[in-house]
Amino acid sequence: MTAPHRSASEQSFLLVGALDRNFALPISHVRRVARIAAMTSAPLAPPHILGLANIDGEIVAVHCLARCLDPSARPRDFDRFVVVLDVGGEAVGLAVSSLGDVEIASERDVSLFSREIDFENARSAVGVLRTSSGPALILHPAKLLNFYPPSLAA
Amino acid sequence: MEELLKDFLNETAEQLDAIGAQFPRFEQDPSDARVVANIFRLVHAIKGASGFLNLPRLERLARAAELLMDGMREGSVDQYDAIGLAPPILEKIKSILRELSRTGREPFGDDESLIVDLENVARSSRPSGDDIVDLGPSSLHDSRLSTRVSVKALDRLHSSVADLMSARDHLLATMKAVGAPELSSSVARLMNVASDLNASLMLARKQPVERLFASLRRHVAELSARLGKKARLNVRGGCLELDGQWLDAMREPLIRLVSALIADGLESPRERSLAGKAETGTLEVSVALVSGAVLITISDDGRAREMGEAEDDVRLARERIELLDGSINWAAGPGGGAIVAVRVPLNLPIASVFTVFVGGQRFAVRSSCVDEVVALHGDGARDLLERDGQLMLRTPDGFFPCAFLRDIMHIDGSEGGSWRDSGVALRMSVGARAFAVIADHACEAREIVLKPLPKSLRRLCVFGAAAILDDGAVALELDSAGLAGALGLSLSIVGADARRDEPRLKRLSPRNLVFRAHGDSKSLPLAALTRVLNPRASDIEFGADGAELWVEGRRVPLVRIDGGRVISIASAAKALVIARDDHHLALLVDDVEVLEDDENMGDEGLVMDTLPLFHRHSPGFDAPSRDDENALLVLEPIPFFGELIAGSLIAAGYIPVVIPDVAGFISSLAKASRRGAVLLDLDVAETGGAALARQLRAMDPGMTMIGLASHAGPSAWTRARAAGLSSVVGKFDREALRVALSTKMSSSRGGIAA
Repeated sequence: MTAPHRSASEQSFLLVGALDRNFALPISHVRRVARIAAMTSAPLAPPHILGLANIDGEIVAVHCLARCLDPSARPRDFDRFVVVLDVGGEAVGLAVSSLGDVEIASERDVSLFSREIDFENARSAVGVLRTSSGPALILHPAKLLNFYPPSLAA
Repeated sequence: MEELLKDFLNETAEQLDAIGAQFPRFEQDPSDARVVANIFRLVHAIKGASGFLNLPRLERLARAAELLMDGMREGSVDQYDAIGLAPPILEKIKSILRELSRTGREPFGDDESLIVDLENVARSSRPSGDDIVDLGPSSLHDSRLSTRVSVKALDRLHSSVADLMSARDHLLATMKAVGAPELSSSVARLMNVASDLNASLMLARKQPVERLFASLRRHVAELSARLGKKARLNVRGGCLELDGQWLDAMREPLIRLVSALIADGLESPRERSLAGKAETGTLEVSVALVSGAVLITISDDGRAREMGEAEDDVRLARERIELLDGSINWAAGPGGGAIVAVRVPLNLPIASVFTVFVGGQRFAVRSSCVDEVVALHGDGARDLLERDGQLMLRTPDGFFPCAFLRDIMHIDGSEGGSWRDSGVALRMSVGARAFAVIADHACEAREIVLKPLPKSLRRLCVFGAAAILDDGAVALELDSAGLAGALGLSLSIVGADARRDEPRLKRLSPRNLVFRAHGDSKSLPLAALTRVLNPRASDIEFGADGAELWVEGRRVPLVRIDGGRVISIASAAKALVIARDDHHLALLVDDVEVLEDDENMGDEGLVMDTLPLFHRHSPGFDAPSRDDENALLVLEPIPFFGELIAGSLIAAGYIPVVIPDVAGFISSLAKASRRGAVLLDLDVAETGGAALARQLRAMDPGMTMIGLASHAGPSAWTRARAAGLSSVVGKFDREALRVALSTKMSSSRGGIAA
């Protein structure tokens, strides 16, 4: 995926949907969006890991965004497209309910996450992006994927 | 000329002081280019000046040192070899300069051995920046028989071979699907060539572990001398051959761990003498292959202590080992000192595996980890002894703890059919423990390219790697050590932390083997049983003293359970081989029925006392009585563990009395006529092991108390010491337990007369 041209003060985000709301992923962490033909389940894995997929010869763990954010969420069928993120040099698949556009945001469109704003799932979010379709929580991939439900965090 | 000499001496002294200050950093990180460049500049300047000032001894030393440092600068000299040589050469230069300053003359002396060492290390350097491996037998330096190849070139070749194997598998699958018999011979040839190529390449990359040990030996000698200590390094596994790059990667962390052991644990010769130890301390390093990983254990006989992240060397070693996807654990040694265990997966991307189906999903198991594949008959009634969902696999070789892979991996439902249709048991072993896992159906042997697990799945110790199969699907590789852990059979402290969260099966709790003999049901404690055999007439020798059965190459007395002589055997008879100390007996029985817990036995009178049989039939058997000093009280609430521990203690010559509850334990202890040693499971839920230990210590300050912990790490050791325990060992570490008992009981001379 190629990021659209932007100025130094602009940032690009990929908008995705989960839990009936919008989220924004920094485009710098997005390697590509891939269609997967089949997935192998991973027994004993935390519930937010849907399984393993072969993406162009690379074995990638596919995480469910909804369950990453809310462990009790039912994993909704995703349309076989996953966002392949770069997390610490490793490719990680993120299954989302819907894929949106790439949003080029200026500094004023991005608000740092504030304690006064009581968002759900705050641990994974680093800020809020104002988009034409409403606010979207900006997710930090490393934080998002390190988040384990308390019952699984030893 | 005098002025020049004075300037030279002053400047060189300053530079030597500056480098001396940088040297600790150099030892920590020999790849620090700035320090290496500084030392190179210094020796280069000394060489030039000493030539000009006509100081031939200094010039020759400086020339050799310059050669070495140049090699380090280029990255072609082994850094750790250089670390060992840099201090003596700098010290030698300093001493010459001191004499020169004092007398104005270069002192006489012989530096030949040091110069030869320097030149040898420099000559053994690799010719370019690329790592080079020798593709011929190491003992043959004939250029016609060997050649040198860049490791990068080997890596590229290896990657190509991996791709070739994948393409071969894909081609094979396609051919099977579309049916192209005319291609079969070509594909078969391609498969053979690809396999040969892979095998040759793996061989080319291998180097003996002794190479790693050589570096450790030099380091131990140099560091112990510098610290005024005496240390000897004993090694095991030097003949093993492993990937050369892997060996290189392991050198630094191992040197750091050895450094930590010597610096912080090994006492000075005087301290050791005062403690009644040999002046020279011993470090033991062993390397072994365990289930696709390399297990390295390092231990010392220094003072008992903890090791922790606070020590820089340990922290840095852990960081390096974790970069290799490995793990590191340490524990207090049973007889003092410390034990460090390092487990690092081998980088063997192409492996021969069995693929098995569980819940409709394919999994891979390395062929090298499977001792036997047992096809289950029908509903498994012939092969499995099942009780409350807890199983033992029955084979001609004996009984093995067993579990369904479906249960281990929590795979529910009937997808993929049932094991009852075509189930197979894979018998595996980890260390000395054998076990089996049951898959739903058939397995297929093949070679696959293994890839590391994604980081998010590495906590799941049941899996070791993943692979892309010929149809493009991903398969998980089952790790035998992880499976053993899931069955509660982990014997090593390695990976104990990682396995903490592993879902576990209910423990098997068989205690007695029920059998039929002479029309009656009897039973034997399982701990006493070593094998169940179907004796053939050809395995039995009838002599004047009775019958003897050949078991694993030795003759064992074969007797009836009433002690009578065996004259003949029925075709369906079984032989139960039992052991006590080093003595073995084979009991002839009609059949083996079932495993029973103690509480389900109904009639305790059925349990056989085998002691009289040993006294009667095993020459030289002289078992200690209950009043013997080797009697031990063991508090272990879990019957399965109690059985394991008792079996281990019996085999070591002790007579354990296992008591499952705290009240009974304290009562027995109070009644004991003599107090010497007790074993406590520190995980007892009733009171907490530490609290109980404090209570017992108050009862008898002189008693030896050894704690059994599921993880005998530093924290367990700290808690144990605080609670007054004499020692703490891993619950499954039989050897450590025996050593601890031997050491502690020999110092206190006595057990519990229970």
